[in-house]
Amino acid sequence: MSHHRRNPYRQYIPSQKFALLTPTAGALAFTSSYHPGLVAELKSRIPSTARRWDPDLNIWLIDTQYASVCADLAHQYLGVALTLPLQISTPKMETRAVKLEYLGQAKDRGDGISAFGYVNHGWNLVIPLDVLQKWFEIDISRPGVAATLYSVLGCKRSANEANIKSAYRRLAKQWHPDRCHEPDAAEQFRAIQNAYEILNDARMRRRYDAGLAFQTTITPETFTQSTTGWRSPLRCGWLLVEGMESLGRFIVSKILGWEDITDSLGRVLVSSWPAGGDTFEVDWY
Amino acid sequence: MQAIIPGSLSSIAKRQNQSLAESFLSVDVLLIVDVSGSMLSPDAPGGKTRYDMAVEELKRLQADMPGQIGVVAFSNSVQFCPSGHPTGSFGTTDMAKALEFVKPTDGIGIRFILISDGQPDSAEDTLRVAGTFKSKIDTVYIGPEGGHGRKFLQQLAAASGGQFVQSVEIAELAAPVLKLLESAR
Repeated sequence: MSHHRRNPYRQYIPSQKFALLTPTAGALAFTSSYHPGLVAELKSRIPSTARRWDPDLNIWLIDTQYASVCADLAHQYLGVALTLPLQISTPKMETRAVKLEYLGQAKDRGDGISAFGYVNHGWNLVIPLDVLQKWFEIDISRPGVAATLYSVLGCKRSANEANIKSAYRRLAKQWHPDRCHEPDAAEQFRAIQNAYEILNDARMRRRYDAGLAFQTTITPETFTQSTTGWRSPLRCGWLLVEGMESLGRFIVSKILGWEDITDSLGRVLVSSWPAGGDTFEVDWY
Repeated sequence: MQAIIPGSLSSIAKRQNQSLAESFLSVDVLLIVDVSGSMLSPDAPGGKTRYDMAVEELKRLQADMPGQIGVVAFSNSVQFCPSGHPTGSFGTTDMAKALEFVKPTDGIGIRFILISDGQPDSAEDTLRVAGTFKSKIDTVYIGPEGGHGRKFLQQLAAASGGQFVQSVEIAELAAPVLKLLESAR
């Protein structure tokens, strides 16, 4: 899979000292000839949460409020007078359908814990952990007692018998060790089977639900089950999401839907990242 | 924070690396334990309180039946105690609230055994809530001989078709509880 994109800014770059500032989705694209002082001062004057280096395009994506800083730097280090874009579009909340090919592990990136999703040939989707957990009905206010068998199956607590079966089939397909090459696929598959065996049995499910009801009455300190390593039960799919552009990425604020990606033969896309691999793999089953 | 009693739900959940809700799948009995103010009375001058002795007995029961016993403590508030150690505010005896608390577990094959040394705040409310139960509620009286609470606990057990047992000495609490469980098998 190629992750390279053509640089749309490159065609405007002359051979002499230069600097360009161009509006792009939810940000400004800043590109210039290299000057170490400019880079150092850019990093010191613009907080890390308001800038991002795009290695494919060799540009800085800068929060629109720092346009004048870019102009100062271009003038100071390169002697280039930058014309500030007349119209800087303010990112707006929008709803999008995105084809998510792979969702990475949620990590702390300085401005909160989030997972990056591979969409449109790049890691262009950002889903904050709390948004993901809300979709999978994990009680984010109670870390330590949060994971439930329902969240293992990626289904709602209100799910009926048919929903449970369908969720199991979907997850079993995604995580079967013969198909999924994630390092923990076998462990995840066992957890999925265990969740299904309990939730698919009406009597056991009622007992489990009663246990959940009791569990929610205790303070999290009373019982802490490790949640480290929690991952979204689904890796890929068609997502209907609400959010807005920021620094060239779409930041999701709410997930509205999550469906499997299927082909004309009815096969489902399964993506996984093999241990030690450079990138993820996709296949149809 | 109380230590986790061996055989309690927390200890089983930790050992098997599962959630408390999952450990609930193996519960056979919920012990609803009175931790009202009167439980702080010693049965003998200078001796252990009823509460301390009840804790000792609960330890024994949970060790004998690991993962099969859930503990709920009540006084004027109710608390699920997965560590197996009953905790409470040692206030009044709101038995009706305790029964409402355990109601979500009614009708799923879990037995209820209510252990108390006193009369409830409201006998009427307690009997009304007990009347909504599908499962039987057994009662164990741990107060002094001829105490007022004895008659009510008999009444409560009868209202739900459960059994009443008296433990004259609280230090012998485990025996009548085990007897109730044996009789249910």
